[in-house]
Amino acid sequence: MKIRRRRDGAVVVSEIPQPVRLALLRLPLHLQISEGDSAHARLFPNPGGDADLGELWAEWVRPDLAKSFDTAERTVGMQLRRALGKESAEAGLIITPPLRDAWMHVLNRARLAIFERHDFSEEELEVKFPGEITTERDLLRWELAVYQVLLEVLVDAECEP
Amino acid sequence: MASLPPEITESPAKVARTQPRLEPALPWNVVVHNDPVNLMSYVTMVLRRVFGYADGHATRLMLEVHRHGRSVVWTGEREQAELYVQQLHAHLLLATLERP
Repeated sequence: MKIRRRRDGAVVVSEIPQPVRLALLRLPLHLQISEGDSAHARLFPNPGGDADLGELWAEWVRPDLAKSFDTAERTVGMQLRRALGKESAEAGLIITPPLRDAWMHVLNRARLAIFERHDFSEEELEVKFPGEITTERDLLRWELAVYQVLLEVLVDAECEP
Repeated sequence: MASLPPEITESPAKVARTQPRLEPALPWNVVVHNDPVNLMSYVTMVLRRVFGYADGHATRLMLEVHRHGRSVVWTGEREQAELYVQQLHAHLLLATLERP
Protein backbone atom coordinates (compact mmCIF):
# COMPACT_ATOMS: atom_id res chain seq x y z
CA MET A 1 0.00 0.00 0.00
CA LYS A 2 1.25 3.46 -0.85
CA ILE A 3 0.18 6.69 0.84
CA ARG A 4 1.26 10.02 -0.59
CA ARG A 5 0.20 13.61 -0.44
CA ARG A 6 -0.47 15.54 -3.63
CA ARG A 7 0.41 19.19 -4.12
CA ASP A 8 -3.24 20.15 -3.81
CA GLY A 9 -3.31 18.59 -0.32
CA ALA A 10 -5.15 15.44 -1.34
CA VAL A 11 -4.10 12.22 0.37
CA VAL A 12 -3.80 9.41 -2.14
CA VAL A 13 -3.93 5.83 -0.90
CA SER A 14 -3.11 3.34 -3.62
CA GLU A 15 -2.42 -0.36 -4.05
CA ILE A 16 -4.62 -1.05 -1.05
CA PRO A 17 -4.22 -4.67 0.03
CA GLN A 18 -7.33 -6.74 0.54
CA PRO A 19 -7.27 -6.80 4.39
CA VAL A 20 -7.03 -2.99 4.52
CA ARG A 21 -9.75 -2.66 1.90
CA LEU A 22 -12.01 -4.87 3.99
CA ALA A 23 -11.19 -2.91 7.16
CA LEU A 24 -12.15 0.32 5.41
CA LEU A 25 -15.33 -1.21 4.02
CA ARG A 26 -16.29 -2.19 7.57
CA LEU A 27 -16.14 1.44 8.71
CA PRO A 28 -19.91 2.03 8.30
CA LEU A 29 -20.58 -1.01 10.47
CA HIS A 30 -18.82 0.63 13.40
CA LEU A 31 -20.73 3.87 12.92
CA GLN A 32 -24.16 2.40 13.53
CA ILE A 33 -24.78 3.56 17.06
CA SER A 34 -28.20 3.47 18.66
CA GLU A 35 -29.21 5.22 21.90
CA GLY A 36 -28.83 2.08 23.99
CA ASP A 37 -25.33 1.43 22.67
CA SER A 38 -22.47 1.82 25.15
CA ALA A 39 -20.69 4.06 22.62
CA HIS A 40 -23.61 6.49 22.50
CA ALA A 41 -22.76 8.24 25.76
CA ARG A 42 -19.16 8.68 24.62
CA LEU A 43 -20.17 10.25 21.31
CA PHE A 44 -22.72 12.53 22.94
CA PRO A 45 -21.13 13.40 26.29
CA ASN A 46 -22.63 15.49 29.05
CA PRO A 47 -21.66 19.17 28.73
CA GLY A 48 -21.32 19.76 32.48
CA GLY A 49 -22.49 23.15 33.68
CA ASP A 50 -25.94 23.04 35.23
CA ALA A 51 -29.31 21.36 34.66
CA ASP A 52 -30.38 24.09 32.20
CA LEU A 53 -27.39 23.36 30.02
CA GLY A 54 -28.16 19.63 30.09
CA GLU A 55 -31.66 20.34 28.82
CA LEU A 56 -30.40 22.72 26.16
CA TRP A 57 -27.93 20.06 25.02
CA ALA A 58 -30.56 17.35 24.82
CA GLU A 59 -33.02 19.52 22.94
CA TRP A 60 -30.80 21.44 20.52
CA VAL A 61 -27.14 20.52 20.50
CA ARG A 62 -27.26 16.71 20.34
CA PRO A 63 -29.69 16.62 17.40
CA ASP A 64 -27.44 19.12 15.60
CA LEU A 65 -24.36 17.03 16.31
CA ALA A 66 -26.17 13.88 15.16
CA LYS A 67 -27.01 15.58 11.86
CA SER A 68 -23.42 16.64 11.22
CA PHE A 69 -22.20 13.13 12.15
CA ASP A 70 -24.67 11.64 9.64
CA THR A 71 -23.47 13.96 6.90
CA ALA A 72 -19.86 12.90 7.42
CA GLU A 73 -20.90 9.25 7.48
CA ARG A 74 -22.84 9.54 4.21
CA THR A 75 -19.97 11.40 2.51
CA VAL A 76 -17.42 8.76 3.43
CA GLY A 77 -19.82 5.86 2.82
CA MET A 78 -20.45 7.04 -0.72
CA GLN A 79 -16.75 7.36 -1.48
CA LEU A 80 -16.00 3.98 0.05
CA ARG A 81 -18.62 2.24 -2.08
CA ARG A 82 -17.42 3.95 -5.25
CA ALA A 83 -13.70 3.46 -4.65
CA LEU A 84 -13.52 0.14 -2.86
CA GLY A 85 -16.89 -1.50 -3.39
CA LYS A 86 -15.62 -3.65 -6.23
CA GLU A 87 -12.71 -5.95 -5.66
CA SER A 88 -9.89 -4.69 -7.81
CA ALA A 89 -6.11 -4.77 -7.87
CA GLU A 90 -6.20 -1.03 -8.49
CA ALA A 91 -8.15 -0.24 -5.35
CA GLY A 92 -7.36 3.28 -4.25
CA LEU A 93 -8.70 6.30 -2.43
CA ILE A 94 -8.23 10.00 -3.02
CA ILE A 95 -9.14 12.09 0.00
CA THR A 96 -9.24 15.70 -1.14
CA PRO A 97 -9.07 18.60 1.37
CA PRO A 98 -12.86 19.21 1.28
CA LEU A 99 -13.41 15.54 2.23
CA ARG A 100 -10.74 15.49 4.93
CA ASP A 101 -12.95 16.53 7.83
CA ALA A 102 -15.55 13.89 7.05
CA TRP A 103 -12.85 11.23 6.91
CA MET A 104 -11.18 12.33 10.13
CA HIS A 105 -14.55 12.32 11.87
CA VAL A 106 -15.52 8.88 10.62
CA LEU A 107 -12.17 7.26 11.41
CA ASN A 108 -12.11 8.80 14.87
CA ARG A 109 -15.71 7.90 15.58
CA ALA A 110 -15.18 4.30 14.49
CA ARG A 111 -12.18 4.02 16.81
CA LEU A 112 -14.13 5.47 19.74
CA ALA A 113 -17.08 3.19 19.06
CA ILE A 114 -14.93 0.05 18.85
CA PHE A 115 -13.09 0.98 22.04
CA GLU A 116 -16.27 1.66 24.02
CA ARG A 117 -18.36 -1.14 22.61
CA HIS A 118 -15.77 -3.88 23.06
CA ASP A 119 -14.31 -2.65 26.32
CA PHE A 120 -10.72 -2.34 25.11
CA SER A 121 -7.99 -1.40 27.55
CA GLU A 122 -5.38 1.29 26.97
CA GLU A 123 -2.69 -1.41 26.89
CA GLU A 124 -4.46 -3.17 24.04
CA LEU A 125 -4.41 0.06 22.06
CA GLU A 126 -0.66 0.32 22.45
CA VAL A 127 0.01 -2.98 20.71
CA LYS A 128 -0.68 -1.73 17.24
CA PHE A 129 -0.96 -4.46 14.64
CA PRO A 130 -1.71 -7.89 16.09
CA GLY A 131 0.67 -10.43 14.61
CA GLU A 132 -2.02 -12.93 13.80
CA ILE A 133 -5.74 -12.47 13.47
CA THR A 134 -7.48 -15.44 15.01
CA THR A 135 -10.32 -13.85 16.95
CA GLU A 136 -12.82 -11.07 16.39
CA ARG A 137 -10.94 -9.04 18.97
CA ASP A 138 -7.73 -9.35 16.90
CA LEU A 139 -9.68 -8.19 13.87
CA LEU A 140 -10.98 -5.17 15.78
CA ARG A 141 -7.47 -4.33 16.97
CA TRP A 142 -6.27 -4.58 13.39
CA GLU A 143 -9.04 -2.20 12.34
CA LEU A 144 -8.21 0.23 15.16
CA ALA A 145 -4.63 0.29 13.90
CA VAL A 146 -5.61 0.74 10.23
CA TYR A 147 -7.93 3.60 11.10
CA GLN A 148 -5.25 5.17 13.29
CA VAL A 149 -2.64 5.15 10.52
CA LEU A 150 -4.99 6.83 8.06
CA LEU A 151 -6.16 9.33 10.68
CA GLU A 152 -2.55 10.27 11.49
CA VAL A 153 -1.84 10.89 7.80
CA LEU A 154 -4.92 13.13 7.51
CA VAL A 155 -4.05 15.09 10.67
CA ASP A 156 -0.54 15.63 9.31
CA ALA A 157 -1.98 16.84 6.02
CA GLU A 158 -4.22 19.25 7.93
CA CYS A 159 -1.46 20.60 10.17
CA GLU A 160 1.37 20.77 7.66
CA PRO A 161 -0.13 21.87 4.39
CA MET B 1 -60.13 58.87 45.07
CA ALA B 2 -59.21 55.84 43.07
CA SER B 3 -56.50 53.73 44.65
CA LEU B 4 -53.06 53.85 43.10
CA PRO B 5 -51.79 50.85 41.14
CA PRO B 6 -50.13 48.35 43.45
CA GLU B 7 -46.60 48.98 42.23
CA ILE B 8 -46.84 52.63 43.25
CA THR B 9 -48.29 51.93 46.69
CA GLU B 10 -45.44 49.57 47.54
CA SER B 11 -42.51 50.94 49.45
CA PRO B 12 -39.23 51.31 47.51
CA ALA B 13 -37.63 48.76 49.79
CA LYS B 14 -40.24 46.13 48.90
CA VAL B 15 -39.94 46.86 45.17
CA ALA B 16 -36.21 46.42 45.41
CA ARG B 17 -36.65 43.02 47.08
CA THR B 18 -38.94 41.71 44.33
CA GLN B 19 -36.65 42.65 41.46
CA PRO B 20 -34.37 39.92 40.13
CA ARG B 21 -30.93 39.97 41.68
CA LEU B 22 -28.23 40.88 39.24
CA GLU B 23 -25.18 38.72 39.75
CA PRO B 24 -21.84 39.62 38.27
CA ALA B 25 -21.10 37.49 35.20
CA LEU B 26 -18.59 35.00 36.54
CA PRO B 27 -16.30 33.35 34.04
CA TRP B 28 -16.70 29.72 33.05
CA ASN B 29 -13.98 27.23 32.25
CA VAL B 30 -13.94 24.99 29.21
CA VAL B 31 -12.29 21.75 30.33
CA VAL B 32 -10.97 19.02 28.03
CA HIS B 33 -10.72 15.57 29.60
CA ASN B 34 -8.33 12.80 28.69
CA ASP B 35 -9.50 9.80 26.77
CA PRO B 36 -7.34 6.92 25.61
CA VAL B 37 -8.53 6.85 22.02
CA ASN B 38 -8.12 10.35 20.63
CA LEU B 39 -4.66 10.76 19.15
CA MET B 40 -2.40 13.42 20.65
CA SER B 41 -1.84 15.00 17.25
CA TYR B 42 -5.60 15.08 16.66
CA VAL B 43 -6.32 16.78 20.01
CA THR B 44 -3.65 19.41 19.26
CA MET B 45 -5.16 19.99 15.82
CA VAL B 46 -8.64 20.46 17.31
CA LEU B 47 -7.39 22.95 19.93
CA ARG B 48 -5.66 24.95 17.20
CA ARG B 49 -8.71 24.88 15.02
CA VAL B 50 -11.41 25.65 17.61
CA PHE B 51 -9.56 28.28 19.67
CA GLY B 52 -7.08 29.53 17.08
CA TYR B 53 -4.16 28.71 19.40
CA ALA B 54 -0.58 28.61 18.16
CA ASP B 55 0.87 25.13 17.80
CA GLY B 56 3.08 25.43 20.91
CA HIS B 57 0.22 26.51 23.17
CA ALA B 58 -2.14 23.86 21.79
CA THR B 59 0.54 21.21 22.32
CA ARG B 60 1.11 22.32 25.93
CA LEU B 61 -2.61 22.07 26.66
CA MET B 62 -2.83 18.67 24.99
CA LEU B 63 0.07 17.41 27.09
CA GLU B 64 -1.62 18.70 30.23
CA VAL B 65 -4.73 16.73 29.28
CA HIS B 66 -2.60 13.67 28.61
CA ARG B 67 -0.56 13.87 31.83
CA HIS B 68 -3.08 15.23 34.30
CA GLY B 69 -6.32 13.90 32.87
CA ARG B 70 -7.76 17.33 32.16
CA SER B 71 -6.91 20.86 31.20
CA VAL B 72 -8.72 24.18 31.37
CA VAL B 73 -8.36 25.23 27.76
CA TRP B 74 -10.34 28.46 27.85
CA THR B 75 -12.04 30.75 30.40
CA GLY B 76 -14.64 33.41 29.72
CA GLU B 77 -18.29 34.20 29.22
CA ARG B 78 -20.75 31.38 29.48
CA GLU B 79 -22.31 31.73 26.05
CA GLN B 80 -18.96 31.57 24.29
CA ALA B 81 -17.88 28.70 26.53
CA GLU B 82 -21.01 26.73 25.53
CA LEU B 83 -20.20 27.28 21.88
CA TYR B 84 -16.66 26.01 22.40
CA VAL B 85 -17.86 22.90 24.23
CA GLN B 86 -20.27 22.22 21.37
CA GLN B 87 -17.43 22.54 18.84
CA LEU B 88 -15.23 20.23 20.89
CA HIS B 89 -18.03 17.66 21.06
CA ALA B 90 -18.42 17.95 17.30
CA HIS B 91 -14.76 16.91 17.08
CA LEU B 92 -15.48 14.02 19.49
CA LEU B 93 -13.39 15.40 22.34
CA LEU B 94 -14.59 14.98 25.92
CA ALA B 95 -15.24 18.53 27.09
CA THR B 96 -17.28 20.16 29.81
CA LEU B 97 -18.20 23.57 31.11
CA GLU B 98 -17.24 24.28 34.72
CA ARG B 99 -17.27 27.12 37.20
CA PRO B 100 -13.71 28.04 38.21
